[in-house]
Amino acid sequence: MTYHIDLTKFGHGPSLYERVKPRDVGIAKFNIKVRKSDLRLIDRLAELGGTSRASVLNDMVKVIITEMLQEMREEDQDSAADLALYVDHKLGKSEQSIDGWSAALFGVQSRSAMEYWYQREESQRSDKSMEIQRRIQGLKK
Amino acid sequence: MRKPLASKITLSLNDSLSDSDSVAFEMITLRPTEDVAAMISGLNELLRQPVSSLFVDEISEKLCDLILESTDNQSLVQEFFDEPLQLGSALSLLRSRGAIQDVADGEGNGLTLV
Repeated sequence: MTYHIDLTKFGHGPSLYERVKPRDVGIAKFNIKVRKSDLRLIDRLAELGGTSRASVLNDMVKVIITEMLQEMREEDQDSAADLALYVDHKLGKSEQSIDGWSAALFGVQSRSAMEYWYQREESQRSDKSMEIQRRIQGLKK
Repeated sequence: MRKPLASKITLSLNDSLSDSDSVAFEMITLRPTEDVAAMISGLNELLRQPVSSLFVDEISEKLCDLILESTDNQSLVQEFFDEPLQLGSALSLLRSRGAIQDVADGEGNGLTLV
């Protein structure tokens, strides 16, 4: 039996290969500055919890970033959306991915997310949002 | 409640964030998950500076918030009453929020949970 592929049935999203290939997200590790007093507390917490200081700090950093995005959204929704989507693209994801930073910002496939992206007025963006866009464009050159 | 990280990002976008350093801090190397790594990398690129120091105050505040979530944390806090409070640290924030207070005893000042 022979088959014919009808490309009109296919979309223009990322390929399966694009979805599963290892991504270069820019860094594999990073340094974080911590107050020594806090570090002693974290070390004791890790000891009591049977885990490592790195694990405790990694969890805290993720929560802090998520809260930071929410705070940015309250202050300037466009800036937060630009940042989340820029990072999602680095991860091979889109604003509609269910496990990306955009989803963390707006909620998974939420009505508010769709309303935001469909109703966004490019001409009414904030100055900070425009600056983020300029920097993203600069990084792509 | 004050949330300094977003404010610092705003400052950075205005190219006016200053950095400070001190022997009271320690640099820790983390290997974050891919999503966090991508966000850290994105912040590094867009803010045009390492974000390592941006988390200092947030970690202190988050620790303080987590400690205040349960009275079961009092024994952990009491373990650190013998050492001086580092400015800006989680324990220092506990004092500024009134959760631990100075008490005068016969041999000098001490700390107590409220």
